[in-house]
Amino acid sequence: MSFNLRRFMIRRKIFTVLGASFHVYDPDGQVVAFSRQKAFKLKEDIRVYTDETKSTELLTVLARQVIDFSAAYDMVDSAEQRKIGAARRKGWSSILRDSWELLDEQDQPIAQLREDSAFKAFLRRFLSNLIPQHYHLRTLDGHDLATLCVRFNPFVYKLEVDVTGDIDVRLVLGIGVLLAAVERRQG
Amino acid sequence: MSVEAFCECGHLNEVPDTLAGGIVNCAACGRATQVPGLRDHYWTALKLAAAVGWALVTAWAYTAAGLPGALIAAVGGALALFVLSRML
Repeated sequence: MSFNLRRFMIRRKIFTVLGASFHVYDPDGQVVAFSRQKAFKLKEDIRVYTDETKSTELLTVLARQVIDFSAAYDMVDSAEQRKIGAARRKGWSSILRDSWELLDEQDQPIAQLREDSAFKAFLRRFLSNLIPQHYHLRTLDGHDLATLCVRFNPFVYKLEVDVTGDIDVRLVLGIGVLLAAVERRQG
Repeated sequence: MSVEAFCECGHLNEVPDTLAGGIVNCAACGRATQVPGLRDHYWTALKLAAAVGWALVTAWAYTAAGLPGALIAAVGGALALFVLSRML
């Protein structure tokens, strides 16, 4: 089974004892995937399953290093047992404006993800979740591939994902889950 | 600099050190293969040091407080080692 939805929403589960959990909903509001971020791990380890029973794993997102300013996360299709790509956080750029690179399986950049505007990014760092984050995923020459928008909600983190361009949807799911797990924690 | 990653199929993949600690597709069979991290041996040494420390503290607790002290130290140390091994 492979994930191929072009529109979905990632919602953080409120009551999770250890680590973090996320549900992925399709446009009809049905749960299509469940993600679990392992607790007590210095190296980030996030798994995406088809449902909350965790019987079928879809995707694995693993950090390369324990402490890494420009952290890179490899994404593996669990069914195929193949790496499908990676996401690398641009450490310095992200101080003022969240910025990621999406890499192919050869570790070559294929797209970049950035917050929508530098001014809003600056405000968000002071007003927290009062200004929801919006991200644009674009090819290196600037063509839109997907948008990822955080819904305004001070209590529950919801990230809406809309894939519009020609890109592996699994990579977008992976970076969406990463944003929900990593960027949300960094505030 | 490159790092060597052995696949289950037996193929030796040489990959750039930017991939250290990550995952690469084996050039022979295509299967996702774990690349050893550059700092893996430090973490192994840390775990070994913690295990030795646990044994020493348990021995010291036995001489200082007898069997109850040794039991408390042993259980506490085992818990600490479990958490450490889960983290790394």
